[in-house]
Amino acid sequence: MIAMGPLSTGLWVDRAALLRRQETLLLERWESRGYREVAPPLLLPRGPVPEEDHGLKGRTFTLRGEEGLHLRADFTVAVALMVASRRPPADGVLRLSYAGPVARRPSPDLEEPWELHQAGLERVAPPADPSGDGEVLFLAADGLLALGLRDAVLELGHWGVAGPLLARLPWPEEGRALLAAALNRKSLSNVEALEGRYGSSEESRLLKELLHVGGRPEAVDALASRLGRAGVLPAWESLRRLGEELSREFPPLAVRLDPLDVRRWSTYTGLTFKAFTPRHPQAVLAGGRYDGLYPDLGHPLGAVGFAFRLPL
Amino acid sequence: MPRIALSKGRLLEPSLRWLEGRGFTRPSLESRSLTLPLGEGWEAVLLKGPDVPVFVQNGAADLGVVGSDILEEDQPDVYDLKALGFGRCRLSLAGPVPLEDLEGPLRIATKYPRTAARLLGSRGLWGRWIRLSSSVEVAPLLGLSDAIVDLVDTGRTLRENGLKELEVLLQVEAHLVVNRRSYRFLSRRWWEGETSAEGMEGPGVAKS
Repeated sequence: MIAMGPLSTGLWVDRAALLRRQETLLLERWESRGYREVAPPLLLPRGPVPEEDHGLKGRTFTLRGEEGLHLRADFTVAVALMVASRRPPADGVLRLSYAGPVARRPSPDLEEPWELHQAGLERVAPPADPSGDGEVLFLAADGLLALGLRDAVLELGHWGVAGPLLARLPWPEEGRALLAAALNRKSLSNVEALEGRYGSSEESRLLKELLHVGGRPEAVDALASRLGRAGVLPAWESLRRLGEELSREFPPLAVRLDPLDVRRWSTYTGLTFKAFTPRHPQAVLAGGRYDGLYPDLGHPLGAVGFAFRLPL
Repeated sequence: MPRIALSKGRLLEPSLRWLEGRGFTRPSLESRSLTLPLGEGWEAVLLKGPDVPVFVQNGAADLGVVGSDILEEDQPDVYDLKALGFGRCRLSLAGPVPLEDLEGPLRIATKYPRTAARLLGSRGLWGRWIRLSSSVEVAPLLGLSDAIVDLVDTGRTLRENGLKELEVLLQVEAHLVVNRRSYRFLSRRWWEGETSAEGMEGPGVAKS
């Protein structure tokens, strides 16, 4: 009898061939758009970036006897460490792509690691560069169609709509964390229970309202004056515009807006997006803007990127 | 085939009534099959409560009916769209004597160590958690723990094991949970128009 390790049973012949075809298709496509492939390390040092702020806390694996190392849980940090070690240009744009496995915990409480294959890209540039969001988002949409996923739903969110409201909420840190979790689960009953515990405020009422109307753009537009007073209307309007441009450019895809896409609050700082298809139980693609990572490594740069989960 | 995961036990009967009220066929429970036809192209799968969100999170079921106690404890990666208004009970701290009469570090037996630690910790109470999977009420009686944190409905089981309900920590009821993929592709009728989530809709389509 063969004792199977917990990490992965790997991809058997047909799935391995499918993975290679899809990786090659995406990497060649991105290369033609100026994104050059890098091969980030599988083993990463602990310490250079705050793990809680960049989605690593509770998601990484430490090798036994090697407490200073972990397996990469995603490519974003691995690419950033590569870029940071090479004196990135302060005023230029770096376009990088990658493909390979990552290993992560499905949740901080679970010991069993998951091994996934990803292919994705990163656009690293001064954070004020506004053109990066559209460029990367359009490449994500293009990739969905290139992989034949014409029935995909591409859903856009923006940290700038709900993030500032959550940050300003006059609640203790624990309450804000619980509210972020409740919003992430779209649990109106939990949001109401938390208001009962920590007190209602304009910020909590507006977040609840946004959750209540879901992502109906016209219903969110109806809240424009309140969003304006809260200082978050520009983020919503930019999301609206981006959604409309994407729909015009990629008619086969269903484009949706979710102003409360609060997945990984501490990581993303602007646009977020993910894609689903009827045949895949989890998101087939996820990404967004995270301008906090490179400053943590000493570089005044921002980044936007995404990764596909392969094979599909 | 779209599938809904139902919790066996006390939630099963009200879950089937809720499904009947939505136009589905009530399945026969005489068979030992764990998947049951519901009509309209749907089927139900009967699971232990803690397994319901596991099936839903991983897409083996599109929807699930599960107690909010399990959602609190396991924090699954699913959408928790609706409190269904049945299966109401409470998660309570119970023991043979008031806590202030006890000395030394508390030993608390529970099926919900993470929830108990969070809720009791926020009240300034800390202890050593003993995780059990059943018959929690007997733990203080046999000296395994000083107190328990468990679900309480009528309180009869507590009384019959010499325990008093010392503090209600959490109100519990059945919730409808949805897989993140299914949320994008199922009809919105599942989560429209009932209980506290009235009017909630899925993300709007930006194009016509």
